Amino acid sequence: MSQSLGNLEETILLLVAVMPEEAYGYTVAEAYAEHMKSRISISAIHTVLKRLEKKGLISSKMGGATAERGGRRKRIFEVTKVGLSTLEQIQESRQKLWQMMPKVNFSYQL
Amino acid sequence: MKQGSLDHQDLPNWANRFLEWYCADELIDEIQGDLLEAFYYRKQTYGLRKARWWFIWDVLKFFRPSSFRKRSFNSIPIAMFKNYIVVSLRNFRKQKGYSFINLSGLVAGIAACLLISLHVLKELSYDNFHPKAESTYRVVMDMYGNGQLKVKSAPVYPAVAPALLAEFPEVEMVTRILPFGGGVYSVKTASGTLVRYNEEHAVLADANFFEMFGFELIEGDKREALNEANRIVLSESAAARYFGDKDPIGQSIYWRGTRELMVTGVFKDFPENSHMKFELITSLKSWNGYEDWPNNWGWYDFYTFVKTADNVDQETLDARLETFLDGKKAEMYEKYNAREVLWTQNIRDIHLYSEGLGWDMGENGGADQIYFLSVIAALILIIAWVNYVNLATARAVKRAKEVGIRKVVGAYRSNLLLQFLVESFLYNLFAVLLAGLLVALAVPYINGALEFTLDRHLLLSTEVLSGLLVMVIAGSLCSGLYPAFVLTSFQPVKVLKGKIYKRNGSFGFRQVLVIFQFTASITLILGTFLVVKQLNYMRNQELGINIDQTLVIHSPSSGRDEEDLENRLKLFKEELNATPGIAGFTLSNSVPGIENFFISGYTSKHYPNQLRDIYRMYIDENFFDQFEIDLIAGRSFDKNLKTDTAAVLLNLNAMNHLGFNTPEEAIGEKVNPGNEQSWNIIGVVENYHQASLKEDLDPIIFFYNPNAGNYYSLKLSGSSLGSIMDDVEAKWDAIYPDNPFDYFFLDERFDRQYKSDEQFNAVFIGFAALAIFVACLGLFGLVSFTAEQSKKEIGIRKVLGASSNALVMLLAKDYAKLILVAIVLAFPLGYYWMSSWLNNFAYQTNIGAGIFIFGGSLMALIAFLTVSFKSFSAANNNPVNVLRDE
Repeated sequence: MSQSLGNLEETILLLVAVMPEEAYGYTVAEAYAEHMKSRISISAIHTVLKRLEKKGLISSKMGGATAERGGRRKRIFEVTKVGLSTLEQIQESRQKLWQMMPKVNFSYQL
Repeated sequence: MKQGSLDHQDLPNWANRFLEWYCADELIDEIQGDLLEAFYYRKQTYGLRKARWWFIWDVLKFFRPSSFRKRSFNSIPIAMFKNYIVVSLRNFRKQKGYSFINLSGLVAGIAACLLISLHVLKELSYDNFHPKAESTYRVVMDMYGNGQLKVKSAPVYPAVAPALLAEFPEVEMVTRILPFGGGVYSVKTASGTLVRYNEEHAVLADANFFEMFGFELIEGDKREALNEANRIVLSESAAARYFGDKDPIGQSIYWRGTRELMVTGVFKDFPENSHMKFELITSLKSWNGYEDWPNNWGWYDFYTFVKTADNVDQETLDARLETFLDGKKAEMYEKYNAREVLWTQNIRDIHLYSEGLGWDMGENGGADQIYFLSVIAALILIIAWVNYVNLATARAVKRAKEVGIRKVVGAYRSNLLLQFLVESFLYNLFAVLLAGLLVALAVPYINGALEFTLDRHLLLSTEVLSGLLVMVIAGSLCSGLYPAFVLTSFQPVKVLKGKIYKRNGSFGFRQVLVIFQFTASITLILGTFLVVKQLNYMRNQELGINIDQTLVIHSPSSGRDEEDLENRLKLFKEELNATPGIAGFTLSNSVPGIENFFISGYTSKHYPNQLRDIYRMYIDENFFDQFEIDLIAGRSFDKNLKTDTAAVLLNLNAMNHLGFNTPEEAIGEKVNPGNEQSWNIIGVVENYHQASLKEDLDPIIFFYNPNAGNYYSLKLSGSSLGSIMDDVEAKWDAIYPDNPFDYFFLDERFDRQYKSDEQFNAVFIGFAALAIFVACLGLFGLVSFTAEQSKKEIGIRKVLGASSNALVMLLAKDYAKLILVAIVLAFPLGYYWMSSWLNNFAYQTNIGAGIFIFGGSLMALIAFLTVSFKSFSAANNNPVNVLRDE
């Protein structure tokens, strides 16, 4: 893969991937807060989502409006095939690295 | 699923509206939707308050270019605006000459305005730093005799202050200042040497001085520093002078050798913008000049300040003061048919509005001068704006095609107007920036050359900055509107066909403007000549007294007692007699050029019931001889006649003032100062100028006092001034080791009275030159433009045989007419202005035809040189060069 992904981008790409049909600005921000134990602002989420879409890793469509949104529609994101394979590649290369980790039994020290 | 719905009332509405305002339409759904949803859920989880803050914060974070509407950036007005600026700058570069003329004229005008406003702002800031300055007043006095105003006095009687405090409930505080602290102050150092200085700016003041005024006491207690006798406070620089690095508090300082005063405070040097300039202030309780002085209603030597309650206005105060003295001095008023009226000046007005008040604390500024300067600055600025108008309309022809094209492609007239206003705005803006820079750089040099104290930091004060803003806007409108109307009035079809706009030779607006410019310039030239002439006149006038070659020493005031000083004076005189190069010695209480504080009323046989005010001089027997004052009748004082201690001489003015018709009639008569003692008139002398020629001749009465005087005047003869001075100083130091050798040359000192006139003169010449320069710049621009326009005509005429001279005349004659008209207009205007200025002086030079002839021809010459400079080069062009290309 030629495109490199930042840490935040990767996390949000993952979040979009695990929330099929549910991923839009507010929900992603909430999910981020829930899983990563820290908050980032909705505007930051929007920026990252836009960037991922430009890179072709996710795609979007306009969804329905709800009352708590004041009648505004959602922009719903889903992972593209490229996005999924990027995630898999990252996972794979990390896996390899983990397997190379020397098995040291720390309990025998001292 | 049951959905809650959003309650819009909870939202911070302004933030929501702000979001809707900036957010692009295609993004509003996702952005606003997400924020509203977040708000809805956060309200339930975290409460309304937090949710609202969060919402506002999010709205602000979304406020970034990526969320904005795009359309405003491509709007036509903005693009056109950019275009206007680009075109203006392009024109500026293309026609460097005209742009330079325009810009430098404006810069000169604005710089002149800035300089003058710096001066004016400083003048207006005098004494406004005092606490409650708006209700702090100085009480002054008009004195009438026989129903006529005789004299206006800044100081008043010592008893006025306590009486006001007791009788006027609205007066909350009173402070008296007595200007009699001058003389020698000395300090004995640990090593035994004597530090001594003659102090001029030394006064005595009431204990509440530092509560009344806003001067800052650095060391010592505001209330106690001056509340006992024999206490003194010093300015920082005076303290450094006497005590160096040592702490002055509690130290002793000796006044006039014997009076020991304790230093109880040090104050910060008085700011430049106060009419008071004191360096040493002694407690008023130390003074015992005349018996029971706090209840004295006869000596008016005390500057008296009052602070009133907040709601008291000056008019009511003045109305009550008007009759105040009637109750105190009724008997005396009735006896001498006199009257005295107190009135007040706000402390902030003292500096500018004290003209005519006698015995003031020092030189004050005048509102007149500020008025004159402001008018001149405004004139220069207007001349510069007129340049812009003239050149811009003259160049209209060049811009005609541009205007035509713009109109054809659809510009409205309003668009074009805006374009030309933008252009003039840019000019004015650049000019203001350049002028500001120029003034900031020039101020130190101007201060140095003319002994001004302009403060360039005032350039950044709100007054100046807002003034500049107004100037830029007013300037762009004044100078931009007329050319804009002219330029936009062209009909596109005519212009594009090549029919060049030309106003036919009638008396157009432009001509009127040129005439205005030159009328103003010539008036200023005339004024300059008059100021110079008047100054020379005053300098060269016979003073009636010879003050050349005279060295004046401040008399010693430090001695054990009077007898000691008298003995030492005898010794000093003997020593001087033996000194080569000293031709004479005399002593007096005042010398010409120094304000005489001694004045009293006298009766004579012609005015038995009226006190006539006459200045008092105390002199020795040599005074008239040494100063070459002519004796008209009678005799001078004789040191061998004991009776001369009861004798007086009068000058001619005093003689007339007392009602005597001839000197012979006066001799042998008596004058009486309003008590039992009377004085015999033994002689009458010619009038002489005690003060500068701005003032009238004073009536003076001379008393004989050979043993003490404030000034020792030494007549010098011979040329080796340096060695004489060394001799005198060595003798002084031997006889008066406790007194400083403090001297001046009388002619220089007398000349110093004209310092402010000289400054005014320099400023006047500077501004007149500036005005002429700017006007000539404009004329030059106009002429070169005409020459440019008619170069083909000139070429053809030349080919047909016209001489260069004829061609120069052709170009110059239009302008010559204008200058002539300007000269004719300027003469009566100048005459009126000059005679009103001359009225400030008691001795006036005559305006004379010379000024007009010289001023008019000078202006004509300058204008002719300006015009012909360009005309000659146009007339001498090779006709081939201009006719070839067509």
